[in-house]
Amino acid sequence: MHIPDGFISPKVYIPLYGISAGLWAYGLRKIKKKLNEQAIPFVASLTAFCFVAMMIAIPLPGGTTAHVTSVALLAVVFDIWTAFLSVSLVLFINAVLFGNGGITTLPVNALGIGFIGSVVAFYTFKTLSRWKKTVALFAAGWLSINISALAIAVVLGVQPLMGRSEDGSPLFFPFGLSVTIPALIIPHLLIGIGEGILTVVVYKFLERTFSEIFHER
Amino acid sequence: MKDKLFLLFYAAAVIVVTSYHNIMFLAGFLVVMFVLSGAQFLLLFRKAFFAVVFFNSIISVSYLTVSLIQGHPWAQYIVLINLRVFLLTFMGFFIINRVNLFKALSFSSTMTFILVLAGSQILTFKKIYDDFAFALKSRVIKRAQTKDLHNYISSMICFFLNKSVNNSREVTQAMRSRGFFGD
Repeated sequence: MHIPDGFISPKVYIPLYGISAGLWAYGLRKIKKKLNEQAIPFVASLTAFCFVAMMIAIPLPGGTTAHVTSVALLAVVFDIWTAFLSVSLVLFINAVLFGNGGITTLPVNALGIGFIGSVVAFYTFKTLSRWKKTVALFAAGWLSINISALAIAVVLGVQPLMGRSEDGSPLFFPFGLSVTIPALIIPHLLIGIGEGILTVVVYKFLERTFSEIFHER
Repeated sequence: MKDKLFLLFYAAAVIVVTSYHNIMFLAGFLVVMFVLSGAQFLLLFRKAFFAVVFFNSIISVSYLTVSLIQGHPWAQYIVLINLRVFLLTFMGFFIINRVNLFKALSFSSTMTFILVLAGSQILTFKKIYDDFAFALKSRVIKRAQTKDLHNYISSMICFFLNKSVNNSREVTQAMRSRGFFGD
């Protein structure tokens, strides 16, 4: 889902920056109240882990590969705001240091992957964990990445409506919702399995090795 | 202050470049950026090219195919989008080379705190990730099988997870011992 700069209209990315900035400020205030001395280095470390997890291409049947996001993991281990800010940070560092993604697509990815993904993962886990924790973790990972993909597909798919040149050709991303939704959702149905497995395995690993974080919540 | 101003100019330039759809204007802007980049031109050009070539090729080829089938004009869009995307990416790398991002984003001390800690660990992790990739490459002659790749990835995830947990403990202790938490 790494979209370079230039495909999103300013009519979309400027308002989304406004929404993101509000959410970043609110999230930062919430985190400042909540984080203790151990949690800040832990968030930073988990952000670095999330970054490297995004780089890893997991081979899938059929010769394709998938990149996971670790958003669900951050959301269920911490909360929505910690996950949203960490993922935003990863996306920002990825965009400005390594040229993956862009500065105009940052709010699209931050809201789609970071915020929507975290909200979906957090509430899926919260609802299903009363029944079966492992299923809840897997569902949180699978659903969060798929709903995020849907949100980004919608943003990309509305770009042809944002303006056309005199000869009728598009000015930004050229394909509509009928192309972007299946193009993003179909592979993510499979990628979600990788995300779900990663969420289960890593959460259980953290519960065993870093239990104090869970006790303090 | 200089870094914050640079970042503001960059933000304004991004809005201008994405709001004007004149090919000559964008081409002129790109030439100005090439001149300003000076001795770093080749380095920035190569970085920007490799950052966009994959995504842009897919979009350009798909759009070209659809337009040829439907009989729509395609040349203007393909030139416009590739020019704009390349210009914005080149400009991004140009700014990164000249601005200290940690200073530019120092409006929040907590955010700077997390950014510095995360940024430094990311750079270390990226280097280790590259070492892992080279290690795999040097140990296989043919393309590795899917099962071997899954084993390789599992080991790598476990390593990074352990390292993240240990790093966070070390950083916490280091910060506590230096009085960061006011104990």
